[in-house]
Amino acid sequence: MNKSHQEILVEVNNLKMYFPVRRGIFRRKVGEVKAVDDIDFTIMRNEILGLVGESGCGKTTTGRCISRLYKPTSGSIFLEGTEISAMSEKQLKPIRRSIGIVFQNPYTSMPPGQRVGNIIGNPLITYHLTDGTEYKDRIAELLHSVGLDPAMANRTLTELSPGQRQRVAIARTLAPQPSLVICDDPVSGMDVSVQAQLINLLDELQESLGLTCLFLTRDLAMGQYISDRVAVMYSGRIVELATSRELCENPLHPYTRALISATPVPDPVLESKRHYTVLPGEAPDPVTPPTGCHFHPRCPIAVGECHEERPPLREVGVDHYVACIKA
Amino acid sequence: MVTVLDVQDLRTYLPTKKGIVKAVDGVSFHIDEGEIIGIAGESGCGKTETMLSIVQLIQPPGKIMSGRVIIDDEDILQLKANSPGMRSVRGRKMSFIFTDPKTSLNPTLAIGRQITEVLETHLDMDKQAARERTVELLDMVGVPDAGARMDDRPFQFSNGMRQRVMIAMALACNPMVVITDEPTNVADITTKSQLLELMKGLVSGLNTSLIITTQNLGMLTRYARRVYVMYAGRIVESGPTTVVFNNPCHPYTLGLLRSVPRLGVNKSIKKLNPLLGFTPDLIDMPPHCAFLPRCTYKTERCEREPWPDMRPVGEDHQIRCYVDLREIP
Repeated sequence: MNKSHQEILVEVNNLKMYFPVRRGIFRRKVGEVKAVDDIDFTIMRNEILGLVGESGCGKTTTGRCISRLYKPTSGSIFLEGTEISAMSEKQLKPIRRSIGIVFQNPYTSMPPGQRVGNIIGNPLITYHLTDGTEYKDRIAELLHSVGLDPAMANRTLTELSPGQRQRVAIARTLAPQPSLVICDDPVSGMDVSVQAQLINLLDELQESLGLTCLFLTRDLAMGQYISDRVAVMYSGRIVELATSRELCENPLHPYTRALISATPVPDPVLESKRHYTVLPGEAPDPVTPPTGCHFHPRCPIAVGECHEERPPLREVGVDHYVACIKA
Repeated sequence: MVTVLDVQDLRTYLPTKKGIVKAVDGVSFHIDEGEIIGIAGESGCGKTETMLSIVQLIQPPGKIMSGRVIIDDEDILQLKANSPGMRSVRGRKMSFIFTDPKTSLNPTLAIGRQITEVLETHLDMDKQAARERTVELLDMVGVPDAGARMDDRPFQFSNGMRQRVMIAMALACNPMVVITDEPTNVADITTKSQLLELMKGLVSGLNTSLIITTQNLGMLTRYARRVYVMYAGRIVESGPTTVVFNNPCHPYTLGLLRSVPRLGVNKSIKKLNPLLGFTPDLIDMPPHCAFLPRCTYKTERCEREPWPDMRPVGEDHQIRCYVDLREIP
């Protein structure tokens, strides 16, 4: 996929999100959690960009900054050419409907007692997107687009299975026709067959509605399957960004390699040929991250310089960026 | 090979207001000395209930209806759930590793104490000996500076370290069988791999057997020698992992395998082909195969006749189905 032919929908530059750590009776600031530490990336229109990383790497925070549920510490976020990172709540109001979020847990992201129709219809009313006559048709259409029976509009959420609930959540997100949808690990913890069904739904929606999506996940196999390009995050930073195919065939960052090696393939012939090396240690504490490259204490190929300077995310091939001096 | 645990025709029913849930409905499997086996299946298939039934930790009104669980030539289902005999089976002959590190340790006790307690209860060790053995165990699972860290509480450990502590606790009495029951939503892949790699090493070193229950088929491919696939309270396919995952003969196994995205395969190359529908309600199950509504290979015979028994389709390879996928072009 060539960038120059495509339109940039979201551009993120030098995004930082630091949370203060406060202690003592005066709640003095004693440190910072650098949840997102200076990252840049773009999302093209009609693209699914995967953001893959383990828990605590800052992928959810990134998603929440872009959707402006958080106000970033610094940096800029352009959505369709408009800078939204510093906007006030009032200024954001007309922008809100352009960004949809599908949260991880469909049991806590929607009120359980409500009827499915109300949940999906709510954004339509809030944003004045429908008059009374089309309301029901629009809900039926949305339910149909996520693969649910339109008759389900009268059911309450408690009657639905996790997979069905997540479909409702997706329908609700799609209701105001957002230009960007952020999916925060929407399939984690579900049965494998349900995961695959939802992932296929997302794939269909990308084609039928021209959906643009930021897909956050910790499952590399899932992330690289659904995404056109994948960014790998570690300890608040993007360490590698490439097209899905390039990332799997030619991973350059040692962390990406470790993730690939740790992800098993359910194919005995392939799996027996793969070589698995254990990545020692654990992800660093975000309050006191290591100096230089955050990955150096666990890195098998680290050299002296890695302790000192943060490696920049540099272009090493067509649409392939890596933050490692040894790559 | 010596069989250490032999489970035969285990049935566990849970009465509810709506009817009886046949959570485990005639499960048989065995595990040999030093072997790693996997039990695969989606949530609600009865894999956890099976494991809890083996050690009689089923909460009433759930009840083990019938079956035999033979370990050390003794049918432990004959023992009462709270009897001293059964208690010594748990921990000493069989132990659990729960993979949720946040909830499975007592937050108010030092981690050393949580392990010495096991040793003092089951092996009658005195305090000093138990302490020494605990340091050894923590060393073995790779907790650095074990002697000093023994008196720390769980909150002072990272998740990865807590899981190591739980492994040490499970292995404290040199059990014959260790069961890890894996919730789907826990632990990152690098941590999970570290732990499984560690367990694999320990299991072969101590000649303990390990049962992994999971729906992560990749993990089973990497670690399990044999695998049992469960659906709706029954085992539907069993055999050596390489055979079952290379040549699945039961439509459910095939459906599971096709639902999992593989590294290096993007949606533009090959689409996932997931199982449709969802797992059945285990109340008032029809007599025919429970997988029938989701099955794309069903024949008229499947609707007419009851769920078949397991039948061999290869060496040590069995399926519970009238159809053999290898015979379908």
